Amino acid sequence: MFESLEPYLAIFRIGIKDNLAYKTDFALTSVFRLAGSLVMLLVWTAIYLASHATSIGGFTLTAIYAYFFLINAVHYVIYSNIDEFIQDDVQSGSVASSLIKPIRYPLNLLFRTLSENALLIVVASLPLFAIVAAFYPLNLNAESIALLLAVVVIGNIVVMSLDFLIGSLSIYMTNIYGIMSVFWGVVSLLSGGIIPLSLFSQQTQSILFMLPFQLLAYTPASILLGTISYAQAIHALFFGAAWAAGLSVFAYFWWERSVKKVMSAGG
Amino acid sequence: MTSNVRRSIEFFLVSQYYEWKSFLVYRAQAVLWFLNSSLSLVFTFVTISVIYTISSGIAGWSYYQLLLLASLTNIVMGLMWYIVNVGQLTSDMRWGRTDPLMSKPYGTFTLFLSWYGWPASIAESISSLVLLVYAASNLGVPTLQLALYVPLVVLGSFALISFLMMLSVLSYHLFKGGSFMWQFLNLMQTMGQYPLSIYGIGVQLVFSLVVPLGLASYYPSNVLLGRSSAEYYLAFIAVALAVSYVSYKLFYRLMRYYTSGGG
Repeated sequence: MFESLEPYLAIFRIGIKDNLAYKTDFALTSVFRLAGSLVMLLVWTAIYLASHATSIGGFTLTAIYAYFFLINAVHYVIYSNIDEFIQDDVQSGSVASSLIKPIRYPLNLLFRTLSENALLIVVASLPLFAIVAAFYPLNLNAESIALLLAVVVIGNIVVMSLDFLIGSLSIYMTNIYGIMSVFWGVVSLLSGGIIPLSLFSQQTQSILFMLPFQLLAYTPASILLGTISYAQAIHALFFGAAWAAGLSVFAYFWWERSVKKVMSAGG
Repeated sequence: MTSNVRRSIEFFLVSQYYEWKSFLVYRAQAVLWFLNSSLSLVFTFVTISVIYTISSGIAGWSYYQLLLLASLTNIVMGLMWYIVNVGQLTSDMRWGRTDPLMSKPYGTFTLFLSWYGWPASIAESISSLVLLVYAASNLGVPTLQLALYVPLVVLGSFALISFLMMLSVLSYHLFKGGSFMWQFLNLMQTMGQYPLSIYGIGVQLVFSLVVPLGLASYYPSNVLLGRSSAEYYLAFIAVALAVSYVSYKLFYRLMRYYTSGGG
């Protein structure tokens, strides 16, 4: 079992080295990503000051600060870059050589994206969690941690299945940057990455909570903040698990069909 | 001098023609990119609408005024991407892809401006223009203010683009890469959608003199909203020209030490 994982662990190690090849560039990218949270903090501070309110939509100002830090922290824990990897492999032609290697291509992609996840968790997520924990009393007990882990696992299955499906389209279309950008742009709004979902109208919320995207930002952040009940979190998990199962089965059959159409576009 | 400028403009326009032709080769992709570029309009509208539904918003800024500022920022950023995709420029320098281009008999600044644009971004500017007209019509902006505003945006945008061109070459010299530029520009766009005054005086100065995003959106929007005087207008022109000149000169100074990254 462990012996068979060896090539994938090598891919994981190479992925980390690759990402750290341009260290300053990587560090600056991480800093600017994190600075996005700070901008939203200043915007919301201005809104709270102008409104003279202690709470808006169930969020105190401190809770809003914590929310925007947490969704950034969670973003790198529930993260995938599989679509871009597939597109790069198709465009460079390396998808053909990857397919004849004695390793499974989907697992190759999984370990490549996990190497990015690991790095981003260390340089971005953990510092953000530490910052939030220093100024906000996070809801950290056995139940919430168990729920959070379940959300992280199911959220990753959802995001990786979707990424895999979108990435597979590059076999047919070669260039899928447009699709990727539109899709993930919309997801950032639907997941609560721009505005907490609880600030939308009740009707909009009822639709958004039936989609799997809430697991990518709003639900994990709200579990940690304690702003949703366990019953709500379990409800979200139930929907998320159903979506994850459906999407991963669909991604499997879609890949089985798409792989037959692979053509090498380069060398 | 005049003939040089004319030659550069002609080269820029011809390059635009070919850039559009090559962009439209993959039509389905082109449609998706247009759609993607228009999304910022949706995000801006939803975010600001939610903010003003659940609160009284930002002090001193009404709903339509903030919509106007945010749409101005999106217009400027769309234009910026249309003219020059700075992250791509740095990446191409790293791999030596700019070398054949630089052998052409035009200034490097003109060559990069002509070849490193992103046509789909114009959709962001156009869709944001719709939002701008909607906000301006609700605010009842007089025609005179609109006429005063347009030259400022052009000047401010030129200052911003010159600065970003200089930054991309600097980034190549310092880090041999520029992936951070995309995140940096995203951050700038988010910041520019809200009044600079909420970030404090330090950030306001940085975004006016060092990174001239304020020159391209926030300060011109004050003119459009009738919050300016003649001194303000003239000071703006002086600062925008100074930033453009310094960035342009620095760009060429840095290019003097350019060595190809590969080939």
